[in-house]
Amino acid sequence: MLSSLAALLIGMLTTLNSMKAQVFGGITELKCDASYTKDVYDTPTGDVTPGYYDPVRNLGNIKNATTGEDSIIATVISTASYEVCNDVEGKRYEYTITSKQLTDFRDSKPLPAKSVQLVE
Amino acid sequence: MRWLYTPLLVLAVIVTFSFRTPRAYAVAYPTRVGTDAAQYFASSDPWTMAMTVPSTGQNRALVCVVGIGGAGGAPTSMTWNGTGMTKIIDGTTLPAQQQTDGVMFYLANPTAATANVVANWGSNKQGFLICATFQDMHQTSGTVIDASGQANTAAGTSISKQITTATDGDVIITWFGIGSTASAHTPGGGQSLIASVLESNIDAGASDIGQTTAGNITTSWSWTTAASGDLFAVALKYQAPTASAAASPPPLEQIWIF
Repeated sequence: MLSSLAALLIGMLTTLNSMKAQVFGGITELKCDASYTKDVYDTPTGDVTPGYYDPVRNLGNIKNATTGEDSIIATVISTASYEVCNDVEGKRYEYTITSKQLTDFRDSKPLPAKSVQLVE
Repeated sequence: MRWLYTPLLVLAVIVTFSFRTPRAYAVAYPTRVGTDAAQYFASSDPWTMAMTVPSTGQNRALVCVVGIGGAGGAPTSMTWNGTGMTKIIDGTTLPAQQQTDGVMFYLANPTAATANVVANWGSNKQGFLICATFQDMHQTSGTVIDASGQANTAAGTSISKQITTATDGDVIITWFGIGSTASAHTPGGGQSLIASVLESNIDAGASDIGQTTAGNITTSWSWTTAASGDLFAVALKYQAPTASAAASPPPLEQIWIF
């Protein structure tokens, strides 16, 4: 009788754990071992997207390919650095880092650790 | 007088060994010798470039890195002086790149000579080829890699990659390629420039840096005009030269006290 109850309890816990994993997913530690720095523009996205044009660096198109109108001039307003992380499946994640963290990384120190919670 | 000579003899022995020069077997790493070579190929197959392997040092190895514009790819084979080289890094197996695949070929113990490096593609390709000769390099191509990595950026101005080596005394070779218009570029601190390629469609460079102690090491490249690009880093192992008469420890420096 007791063994049957124990088996039932274990079964219920296993099912609950499985449901929890499906709903909330597990915490996955990311491997963060790369970084890059890029310019930030005065555009909504910070990049030279369609409809914008950087005449200084000749990035983007002078004419909006969709509307045929002149593209809006985009200007660099700052730079930003990002750390590049990957999960075990090779999916890429990017997070902003400070100039100090970038300097440390270039001095062979590790990047800030990151993890994600995968929702199945 | 024996009571006087005995302490003096002991003192002589102590002084003798204290002056003995210790054997300096500090961990070193492979270093470049001779003249490096680099060339840009607009559209051709095969790629042919003259490369001189010097007779300097021991445990030499010829290392060549390749990158091509656009979707990437790797040569099907590469030879130097007619001898087949071993492909030890194939960037086509790494995650998707922005501008170039990183490929490295290696030839252990090449004969000192000036001869052609020939990269065979199977169709015309545009890209760069950079070669250098190293001394004190591990001579087994299949086990030279401690770590390898790749990083890419979309329209950036710098890129960095960290790898973790497992043994002391590696040399880390790092190379990059960006799609740009002759954007001046520089390797990160401590990295020694091997060669640069500055062309209208692709800029590239290769560098090396020695690492005495195993662990994390970050290599980086920066450039002036925002462009997308890729960086690759590979660690190759050290193989100490065979001790010769000239490299033997100096004789004992003896002091006699009587």
